Amino acid sequence: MKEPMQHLHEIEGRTERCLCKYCGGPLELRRIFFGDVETARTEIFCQKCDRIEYGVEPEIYSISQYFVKGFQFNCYPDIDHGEQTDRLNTARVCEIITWYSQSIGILDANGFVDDIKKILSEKTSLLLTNEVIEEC
Amino acid sequence: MSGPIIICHKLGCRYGNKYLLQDINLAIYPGEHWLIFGLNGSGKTTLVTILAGYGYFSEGELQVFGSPYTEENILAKRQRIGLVSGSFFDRYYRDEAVQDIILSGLTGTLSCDMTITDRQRQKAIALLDALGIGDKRLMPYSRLSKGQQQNVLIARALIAKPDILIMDEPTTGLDVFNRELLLSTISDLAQNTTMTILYITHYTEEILPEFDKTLLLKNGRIYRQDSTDKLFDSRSFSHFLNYPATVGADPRKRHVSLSVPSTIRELLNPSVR
Ligand SMILES: [Zn+2]
Repeated sequence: MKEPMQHLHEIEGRTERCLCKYCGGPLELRRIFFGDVETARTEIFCQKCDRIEYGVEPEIYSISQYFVKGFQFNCYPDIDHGEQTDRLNTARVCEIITWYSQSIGILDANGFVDDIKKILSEKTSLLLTNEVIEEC
Repeated sequence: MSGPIIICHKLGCRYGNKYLLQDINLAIYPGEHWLIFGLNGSGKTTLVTILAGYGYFSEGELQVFGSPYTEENILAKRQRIGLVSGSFFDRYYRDEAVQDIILSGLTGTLSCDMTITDRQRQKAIALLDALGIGDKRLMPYSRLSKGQQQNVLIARALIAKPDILIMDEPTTGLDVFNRELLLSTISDLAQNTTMTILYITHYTEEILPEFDKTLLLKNGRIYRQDSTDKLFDSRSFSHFLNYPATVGADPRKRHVSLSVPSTIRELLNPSVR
């Protein structure tokens, strides 16, 4: 069990750094309960979808969006295909990549580990930025 | 016997000049099975969301698991309490994925975070399958029927194997099969686990024989608390409703009948126009 302050610090960091796994929109912290216990009433929301979120690393969102659009990935065959299914599919791929990255130890709640951050910042590997995706 | 698992002392909840709850004194012991019964607007949902650590109270004291809720302990305590309340969670959940909602029951928050293990994910899948909504796992909550949403909240409540299970009108929207499945699950949990259960309803036909204690709530106050047998006799129950009622003798199915005449048809009579 995390310390309450650690939990708050973690979600504050995610709000700054991460994006909504559905729409890629910015996140914000909201105090949603009518009580005075801060830990219990603070949750992350997507500003655009107005949904409760935990957030995904921006690099993971970018490659997930690319994967869904580029390869027409669809795990919702029962819903009419459109913008909503694209969002749902992107969220699913975000989850898969997050799960994998976490499983092999390169990602935790506070972001990528330092070595990976360094690679990402130096752009020494293929980094799918929005510009790269749009060029495809 | 150990001390109470929940203690309320003069607990009250006031918004402006209006009291939603007032002067609630209550002691619930581990393993007890309580029925919280009240008509609409009696303060049932307000009371149980406060007890579960999700609601605000303006006065009095509350102790759960031996101490008040604090910054340090509230998330850990919430993990030990399974709350099923459509009227509470529907305010917050809309397009969140079903699986995320269920897994959030493990962290005491509304979102699910990275501490979730693969085993816990598999447990969520197994619970959804058992509740007949395995195929809805990745769907947004808002695309589910009312009954399916209720089952999601039930899975959220049960995933952490809670010490206290609080069910606020859990059969709302369930079809007859799912309602009986839920009641039989609660009956089984009551008989075969040490879980403390609080079951909130305004339907007398949902009063299981396992609910041996009852709290009657009326206009935000405790009207009476006692053994269910004592409160569900015709005389006491008529008093509570302030209306003549007959309660059947079978404690396994507490049938309550009221004769409530309607005058609506008279209003439809052409001569009244
Ligand atoms: Zn969003």
